[in-house]
Amino acid sequence: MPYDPQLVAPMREELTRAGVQELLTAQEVDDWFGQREGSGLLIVNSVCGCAAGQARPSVIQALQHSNLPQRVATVFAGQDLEATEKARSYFADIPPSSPSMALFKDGELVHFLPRHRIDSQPAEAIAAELTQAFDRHCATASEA
Amino acid sequence: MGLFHDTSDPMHGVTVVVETHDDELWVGRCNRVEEGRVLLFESDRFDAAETATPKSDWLQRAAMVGFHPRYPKLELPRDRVKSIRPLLEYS
Repeated sequence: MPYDPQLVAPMREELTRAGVQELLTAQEVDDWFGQREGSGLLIVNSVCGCAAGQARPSVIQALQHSNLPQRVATVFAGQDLEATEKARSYFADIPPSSPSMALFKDGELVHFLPRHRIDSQPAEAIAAELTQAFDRHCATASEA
Repeated sequence: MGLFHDTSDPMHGVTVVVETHDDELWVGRCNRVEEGRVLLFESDRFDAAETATPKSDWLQRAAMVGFHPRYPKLELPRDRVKSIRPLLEYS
């Protein structure tokens, strides 16, 4: 059962303030994934402590990197159920977990961070893994 | 942290791999490790009868992308447990 929207609002805003696009409906998810060309990072947000202490801070830190995905979006597991289910259908062979992060390039999943890789590491280490994935899979500004 | 969770157990909240002396392999979120038991939430067990995947490959995949938790709550007697390590160490 979803939490009170007022309680989770700050958890959403922490990402949207950093420029992350919220996908609130299945249609918005389909539209985002419909942009197959290029790179995109999808964050599955969550109310849990590791989302607050590690996942969201790591994303904010990683988004300061010089090389970024062309699109960054989020769905909120446990809150926006339809959108989250639709998002997960795009990487259905991956067991669902939250928080989690999926990096796509030209429509293909190229890097995935499941919950246990988030809850077991400090935010700085997660951010480092994200930026390494960005450097490996995302075109630099000069190449774009 | 600390408001809702008992933070005295260093493994609390960490997704772990539990190996038993009788060669069972479990992965799950550790709630607590006590003198008499290990309590896991949202866990799964490697079952050779259910998959042709070798145990090492099953564990590696779990370490890379996660797993489907078939057991919401699992209590293992402490004396059955051979090792408890973060799943992250296997990736």
